[in-house]
Amino acid sequence: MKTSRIAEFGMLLALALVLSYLESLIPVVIAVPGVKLGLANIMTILILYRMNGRFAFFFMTARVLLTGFLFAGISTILYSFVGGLFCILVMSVLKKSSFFSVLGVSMAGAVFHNVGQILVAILIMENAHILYYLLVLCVTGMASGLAIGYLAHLLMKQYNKIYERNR
Amino acid sequence: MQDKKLIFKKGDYIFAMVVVSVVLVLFLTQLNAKQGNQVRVTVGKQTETYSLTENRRISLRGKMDSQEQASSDGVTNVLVIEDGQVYMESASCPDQVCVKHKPIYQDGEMIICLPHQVYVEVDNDIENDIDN
Ligand SMILES: [Zn+2]
Repeated sequence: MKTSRIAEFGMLLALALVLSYLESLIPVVIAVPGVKLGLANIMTILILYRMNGRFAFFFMTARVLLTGFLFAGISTILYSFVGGLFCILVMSVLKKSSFFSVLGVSMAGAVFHNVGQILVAILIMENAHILYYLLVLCVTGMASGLAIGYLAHLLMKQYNKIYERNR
Repeated sequence: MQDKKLIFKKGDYIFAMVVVSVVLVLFLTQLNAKQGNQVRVTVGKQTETYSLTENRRISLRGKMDSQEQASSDGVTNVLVIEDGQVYMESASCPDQVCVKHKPIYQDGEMIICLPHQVYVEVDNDIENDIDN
């Protein structure tokens, strides 16, 4: 692993933590567990597109552990981790095909992030009725995934430009 | 401004359409929901059932974080049944999602407190269905 890559990874991880913190300051408007913007996922997408799925997986793991201990609470780590795992698996598969833009990749990532979280909730609470929550979470996941995907697209254009210039 | 070009690709639309139609189908099957008459409260793996017609206040002892345990008497959530509706009056969870949830009364509606693993669902028992 090149030193420049380690530095980039660390910088983006720090940015992701800042974004998670910012998001935890936004009051919850919709009272459904799991509905959130997922700002930090912008950084995961950046890692996925600039590096690869494996890096994105390590990135997500580090991010989930750190945010869990710092502000989200330890009880959320399992939910976030399984959600993140689903998200990255789906995103790296879709990214490989030229059939999807970053918008679709991000939308699918957000939706499957929620699918993963609901699966954990079903397993822990042994209650399949929670499945209906998935309906709400799919719709909100699509909306937030679209927004996050667009932000990632804008950021990536600038980021790559700056990166090339400073090479 | 050649930037105006859409960045959407075919797969994006297909994915969005599949999700929207799945959600629509499932939503339509949920539309015929009716007023419930009982409340099922699950804490961890134990389930208790209460009538929706009887006003009462229920203290629940859900799962807590290690930091939380020291500061309270074990009650994590207070649930209120009032005038045929159920709501979470207070909770010590960090996200307060369950407290902000609107009161529920229809068959199938639910309030969930993920941090404490508390799960509240309005339900319509079978005997009532046969009467109708
Ligand atoms: Zn709660």
